[in-house]
Amino acid sequence: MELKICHLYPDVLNLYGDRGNILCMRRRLEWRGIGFEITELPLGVRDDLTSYDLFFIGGGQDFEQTVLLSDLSAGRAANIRSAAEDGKPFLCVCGGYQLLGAGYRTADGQMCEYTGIIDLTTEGSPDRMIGNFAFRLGAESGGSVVVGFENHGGRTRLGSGVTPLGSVLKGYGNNGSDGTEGVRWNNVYGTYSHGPVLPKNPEFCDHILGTALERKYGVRDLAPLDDRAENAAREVMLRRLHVN
Amino acid sequence: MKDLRILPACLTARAARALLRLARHGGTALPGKLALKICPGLLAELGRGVDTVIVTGTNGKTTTSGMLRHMLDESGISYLSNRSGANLKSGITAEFIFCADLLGRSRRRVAVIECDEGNFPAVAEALQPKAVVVTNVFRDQLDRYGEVTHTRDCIARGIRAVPDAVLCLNADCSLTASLGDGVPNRVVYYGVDGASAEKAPTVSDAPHCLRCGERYAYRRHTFAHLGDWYCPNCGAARPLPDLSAEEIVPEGPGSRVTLRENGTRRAVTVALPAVYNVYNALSALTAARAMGWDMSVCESSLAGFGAMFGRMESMVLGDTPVRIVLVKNPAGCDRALEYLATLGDDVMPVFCLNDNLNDGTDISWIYDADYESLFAARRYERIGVFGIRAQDMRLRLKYAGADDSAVEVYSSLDELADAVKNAGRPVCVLPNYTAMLAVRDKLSSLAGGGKFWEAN
Repeated sequence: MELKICHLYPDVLNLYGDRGNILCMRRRLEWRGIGFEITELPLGVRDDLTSYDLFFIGGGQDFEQTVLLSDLSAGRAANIRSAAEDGKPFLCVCGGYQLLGAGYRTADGQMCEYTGIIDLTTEGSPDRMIGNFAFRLGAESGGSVVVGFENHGGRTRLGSGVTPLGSVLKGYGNNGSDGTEGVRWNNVYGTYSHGPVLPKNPEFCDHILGTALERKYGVRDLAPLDDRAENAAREVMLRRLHVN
Repeated sequence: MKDLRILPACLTARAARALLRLARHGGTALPGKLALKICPGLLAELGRGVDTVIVTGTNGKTTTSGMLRHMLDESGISYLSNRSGANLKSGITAEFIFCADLLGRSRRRVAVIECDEGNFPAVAEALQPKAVVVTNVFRDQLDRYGEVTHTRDCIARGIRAVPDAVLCLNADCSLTASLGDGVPNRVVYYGVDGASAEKAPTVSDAPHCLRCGERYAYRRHTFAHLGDWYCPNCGAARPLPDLSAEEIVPEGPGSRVTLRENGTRRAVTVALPAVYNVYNALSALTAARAMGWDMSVCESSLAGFGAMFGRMESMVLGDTPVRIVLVKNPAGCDRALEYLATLGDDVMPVFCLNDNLNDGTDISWIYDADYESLFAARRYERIGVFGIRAQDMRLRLKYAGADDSAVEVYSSLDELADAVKNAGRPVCVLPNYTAMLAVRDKLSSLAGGGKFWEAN
């Protein structure tokens, strides 16, 4: 078995250690003897996405995000849409998550159009929501508790009937008011969680890897790993956040 | 007429310091905070008539400030400086108070001030410095500043408040160099012409042109996003440095550097190792000239300037030689890891990670640092981790390729100190800021050294 992982826009969306998610997926495949191939597709590369099994899009700075929009409208957005509609798994963090929505309304009222792949919209605010946080994944995403670090000015609202990735236990999540965090649409996993999110949440990582394997090979065949280090780091944060 | 609140403000700060010292507490922020509460305009009053140079930027502030102080020491000029690294407005104010009489008249005519980027606008406006040095802008404590360009914009805001200051800017850092665009100030650039990186950086903190968004190209790279950058689209480019390091040759622990300035060349010795310390030396020299100091003394002083306060410091504990190298962001961490790699396999690395406010509460950046390259080539018998986020550090090392069973997690400073004493090999400690304060304090007291606020 082998998974072909595509890291989209590693040159622009590369803040906050999010590349640690790629490292985490890679190691957890490696430790199980499952093959992998990681391809970075930076800005301006026009290859289509049909040959990949799993995608990662990270977060970036507002300044760099505007650089992205012209690249997205030059064809990349359509590629992403068809891969996502096709049920391919995507992990999208922060800015990468927002980009899947209809757009971003800045604090001074300007509307910036995004890809519109998922029915969600983000509104900017000068008050950033920053800190360690925890949320419980929906049953369709494995149901485990995830710990991470959020740092975003944008408040995201999901369209009616759109499933969040999970529900906030401690912290802000999508907007700090409706208790939702992230989005789960087809096999797209959108989240505000940095940290990076996967290393300390091995169940979530394995859920995403399993989804990719199941789609490609029809089996979720993941041998258990020694997760003592992962769980120890996670426990520290759960205790600190008083989440049981 | 003088502000009548100066006297009570200065008295309160002195009383607070006396109490803290009685309690054997190293805190440096409280006296200044109290004084500023009583007299908000105090720093501007205290800075009047003092020739000040402010050093700001992400990395190299403390070392550059240390070099500037050493230049003044060698020149026999007395000065005031926030040498314990208290670089927020409160700490800087305290430093000025303790060098002034109770009416706020400074006993020193020269000041070397290291200033946090976020505090720079307020501090610069109050002090009206003669020169401002910006070392570089890297991602650091993004939980506090949000984004790298935000850090740059923060410094730009401070610069607008000091049109008379000479700006000393790193030409090789596109974010820093852009601070000189369209300002009324006199601007002096420095840069490195003589070194290039062996490999391209894994991540760049400034990949795209600030003007037009095109990806920068490089004629030469030193490290991270530093180098001879240009924009192939709009023509923005690295400014020509007024002072440049044309050739860098390793010499002893440090380097022999050929400087070029106004078409003349001369060689200086920089005692501290690695190219990032060449940048620090260039920033200090550029500032020294802007301040009007005796350049021949300043240049030769660099040969005698050793390690700073936890930046790279050595001591002996029992039979164990110990080095401490401060790491606080990916760029600095990669330099420290390169240094660690030069020590070979038979050392015990100890990685310490806290997430207090002064460190930045977001520790995600450890995944942007290149720990992989360290473990790709070597296997350590023993590895230590310590700090509030020790378990996150352990996990980072596991994913970097370290053998998790070789990793020891110390739950107290005593455990760490015992492990260091009984390491049976040299130890290299890589702590972030508040972890460094705690670890250094513990180890140096066991080794018979002083507490940090007494240290130079």
